Amino acid sequence: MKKSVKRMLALLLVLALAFSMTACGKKEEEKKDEEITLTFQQWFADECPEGLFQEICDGFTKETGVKIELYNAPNAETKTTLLSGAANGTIADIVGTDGKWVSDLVDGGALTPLDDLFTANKVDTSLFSDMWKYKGKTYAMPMVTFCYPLAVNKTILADCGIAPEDIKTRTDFLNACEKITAKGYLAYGWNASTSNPAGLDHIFLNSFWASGGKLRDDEGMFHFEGNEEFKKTLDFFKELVSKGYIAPGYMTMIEPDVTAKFGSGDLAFCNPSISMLSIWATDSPDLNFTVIPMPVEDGYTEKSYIDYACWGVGISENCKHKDEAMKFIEYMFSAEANAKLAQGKGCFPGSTVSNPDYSQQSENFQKAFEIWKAGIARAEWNAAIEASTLRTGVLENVLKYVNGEVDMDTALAGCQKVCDDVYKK
Amino acid sequence: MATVELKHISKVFSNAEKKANKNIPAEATHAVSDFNLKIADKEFVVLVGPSGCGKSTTLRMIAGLEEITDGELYIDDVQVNDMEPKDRDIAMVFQNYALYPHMTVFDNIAFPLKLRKTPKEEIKKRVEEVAQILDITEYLKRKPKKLSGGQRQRVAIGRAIVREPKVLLMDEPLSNLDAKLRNQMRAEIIALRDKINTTFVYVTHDQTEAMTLGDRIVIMKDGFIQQVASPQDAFDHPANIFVAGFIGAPAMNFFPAKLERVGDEYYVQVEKLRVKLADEKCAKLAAKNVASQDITLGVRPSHIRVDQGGDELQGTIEVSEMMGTEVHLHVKHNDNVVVIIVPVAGSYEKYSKYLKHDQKVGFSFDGEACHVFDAEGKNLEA
Amino acid sequence: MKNNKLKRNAMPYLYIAPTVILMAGLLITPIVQVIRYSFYDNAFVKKNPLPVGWLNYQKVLTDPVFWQSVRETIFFVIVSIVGHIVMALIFAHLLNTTMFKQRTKTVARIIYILPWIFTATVISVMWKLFFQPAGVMNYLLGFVGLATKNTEWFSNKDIALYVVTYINLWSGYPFYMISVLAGLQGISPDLYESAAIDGATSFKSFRFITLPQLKPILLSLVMLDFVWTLKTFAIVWTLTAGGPMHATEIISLYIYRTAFMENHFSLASAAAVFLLIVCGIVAVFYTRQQFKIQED
Repeated sequence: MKKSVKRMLALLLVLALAFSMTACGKKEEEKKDEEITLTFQQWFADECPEGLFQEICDGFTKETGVKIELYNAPNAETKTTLLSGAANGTIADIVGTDGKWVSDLVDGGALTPLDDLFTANKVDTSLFSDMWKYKGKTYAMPMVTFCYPLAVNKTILADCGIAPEDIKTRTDFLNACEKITAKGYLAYGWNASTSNPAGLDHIFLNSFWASGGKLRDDEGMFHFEGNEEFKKTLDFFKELVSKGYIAPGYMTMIEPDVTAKFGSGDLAFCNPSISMLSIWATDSPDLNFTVIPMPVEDGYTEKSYIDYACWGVGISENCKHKDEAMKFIEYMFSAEANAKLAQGKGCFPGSTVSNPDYSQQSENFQKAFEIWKAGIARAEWNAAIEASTLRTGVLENVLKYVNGEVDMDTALAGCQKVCDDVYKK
Repeated sequence: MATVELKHISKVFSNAEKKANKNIPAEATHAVSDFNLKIADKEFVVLVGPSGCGKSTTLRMIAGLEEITDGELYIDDVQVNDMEPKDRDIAMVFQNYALYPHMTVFDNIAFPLKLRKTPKEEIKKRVEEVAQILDITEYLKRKPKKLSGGQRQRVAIGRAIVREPKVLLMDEPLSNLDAKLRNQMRAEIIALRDKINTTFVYVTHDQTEAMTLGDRIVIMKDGFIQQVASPQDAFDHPANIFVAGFIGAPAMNFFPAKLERVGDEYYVQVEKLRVKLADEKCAKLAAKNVASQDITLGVRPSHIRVDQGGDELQGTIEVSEMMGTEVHLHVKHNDNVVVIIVPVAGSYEKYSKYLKHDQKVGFSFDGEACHVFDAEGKNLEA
Repeated sequence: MKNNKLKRNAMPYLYIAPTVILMAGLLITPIVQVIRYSFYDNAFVKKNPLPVGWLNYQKVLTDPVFWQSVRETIFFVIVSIVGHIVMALIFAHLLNTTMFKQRTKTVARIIYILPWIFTATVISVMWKLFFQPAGVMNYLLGFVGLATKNTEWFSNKDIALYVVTYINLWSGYPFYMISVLAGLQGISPDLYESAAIDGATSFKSFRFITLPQLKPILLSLVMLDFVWTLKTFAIVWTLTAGGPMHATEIISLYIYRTAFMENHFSLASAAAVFLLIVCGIVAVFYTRQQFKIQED
């Protein structure tokens, strides 16, 4: 009698263990009190100074009593988490998003249109510096933005007898690179790995947009063939590659590889995110560098369009308290909250009324801010369909051309095909 | 078909060798010392002795599987100390057969020929010949794991003789077989010897095998040769106490005794019993001018007589083993056990006497049966 | 009485129940799900995916990048297997030889095993630094004039796959070496002695004794290596992420990229099913061979 009881208990214990392990990871359910809690899936909190983001959110709680529960996940995982969350109904109420994900998220049912919510909650839409629309409806807005100025290592340039401010055009840039490589330094870092096509945006297209280039027409369709500025940018980069001005290994470099090289003083030029500026100010105090606007095509005199990345925010379809969520978003764009975030993290405000105090930031950061204000924001991938596929495909064709594998027409046709395949599906 | 000569062969195991080979016990350093032996062509020599006496090591040195530390080895008058095993034209049968498990019996036997690039038809002919000699023709297509112990042993022998080597070495080939099979194989090896003309060097720890198989036997102990003689010689005239006790089963009995010289006659005295040695023995001892001394007296169990009356040694029967035609009595005498063989040849009366435990019995022996050893154990007659 | 009999018959099933439940939950269910996804359109990212029959398989089979990936995978797998076995044989023999002292062999064994104890990311970071244009490899090769400060390894479309394969060889051989070593030590030295007397040189010994004796182990290793190498992901992804231009995008990377970078989960599932079938076939052969060994 005793033996079999012992056996049964042991078996039950094992089964219980097995079940508990498979049940791990289940999210807690929302509390059904009068107290409303909104869940916010994002990657911002981990990238801000400790506790800053939660503090800002708590400001909203103080005002309205609505609690904000933060779900943190790295940027690389967030899109997948949102999509799968939308498919199985576990998605958070408020979602952090990149502009490039918008179309995919909307198709996946992860975002709800905001226009009606604006009206219902009497939100002044001039608050937002940019609004991401897809198929005519607004889905998300950038809270804060990061631009990618051209960082210049002053020590290397001084050794080559070049003054950073003198580099204004692409020709200036090529001449500078010639002198730099002649002295044995690495000139320009390009993270051209196709695993993460950021290198297309922040370097190649940054230069393209700075010289006024445009990929999409007013209907949002892509045009590569016959795009003069695109051809000029292709040739510019082909020259950079063939003359050895791009640091070797660029085909498999990712952003951290390039910024690490620059931070250790081996690289003359690179395009870091402005968040790197603050990091270098503290971690590499010996690094003597400055930021300048992207060199433009010779003869271009109009305003430059500046490439940027951002932290956007939207509301999910599943949210049961959409009005409260909208109020939270409004709060995040209020002068105080938005400025606090921009200041604390060291990025530019996405709210038109926000005036962050950057006096605490490094000199270079402030310079970057000036460059930002002098230009016009442009990131043509925002709200593009399957932006990741498009960017990877375009980058591949760009690389084939600059490496001399295909001619101009083939490369342009390749880019066009990538976009057509997606848009004409 | 060759002579083998070992001159002052010795083997010392270095520490490295011991570390590399776990079979070598830690204490074994001087495995073989000053081994001298001339083996005639077609002679069957048996190296025999207890475990660890160096017999296998000597064999392996002849084979070339162990390095010779000191001394010279000649096969057919050619010094082969540094020659590779495969060039010495010898063959070896291992205790564990060492058959190649993934090859059939045919391939196992053919292997040495194949390595020497013998043409296929010749290989087939010779393998089948050997298989017939050893009566394993029906197993040629089988793999070793499907054979019994005796069959495997025959395959191993086949593989060794197919090459018609100069010297055939056998390292305790029958030790892994059961008693009945062993007897059978022993007879087969004797028969084999007639069929193949080659020099045999055979190693065993079993003195019965040594006695029945060898033309000459080499008794070894602790790396040293104790005696080289024909089996009969070793039995009748053991060189020392060790050989005396090793050869012959059951073993010889030993008594502490006194040797008395009276003129040219010698007497041995054990307690009350006083025996005059046989004439040839006296003659040998006198020729060597052996004096009276304390000795160890050795007498074989079959030479001891029981209950004959007269001056006898007394003992108590502890165990009596009924062996069929004789009874082996284990008699307690002083602190020793004396083994006595009593022929009873079918007579119930004769042997029923000796069945009772604790029965007292008297025993004695003649002068021809005595072997006298000095204080160091050496045979005084030698 | 009947109750007891029932209990007794049920006992074995209860004992294996925890493992079976775990396996069903963590192994069978995801596999079945993935197979399901491959027959739907945009599974996982759409709220109501539609079944599309074989469409995803069609798309995968007509994707030139997929076939490039297959070619690269075949190269990667075959070279890895052959390399692993050859290295294993060489190193195992080195560790088993009587030519060196035991102490030397023990130290050597520790050194030879080292690559195996590092995790994939550590190995990647280490070799990335090693092979970067300003890294140690170029420095060393510079002495014999084979490379300069600017020679690219991972960025070079033509040799990136070779470099990645080499690193995979380096990081994986210890397991096979240990297995072969165990096999070697199980071969009775009598066989070698007998062969030496029969007239075999060391090479012939290796061919006629060592290799046949090792055959079952080698066969198992080849099959295991095949399945494991097919599934290699972490090392290659962290080294090159499939670049440059898909030059090192072996099948597992192709699936990962399609799923998690392009969010085409259905396509990726279809490709994954191909991989599942290939691994499954090899697994069947492997299990069969293991049974055969047991019978022996």
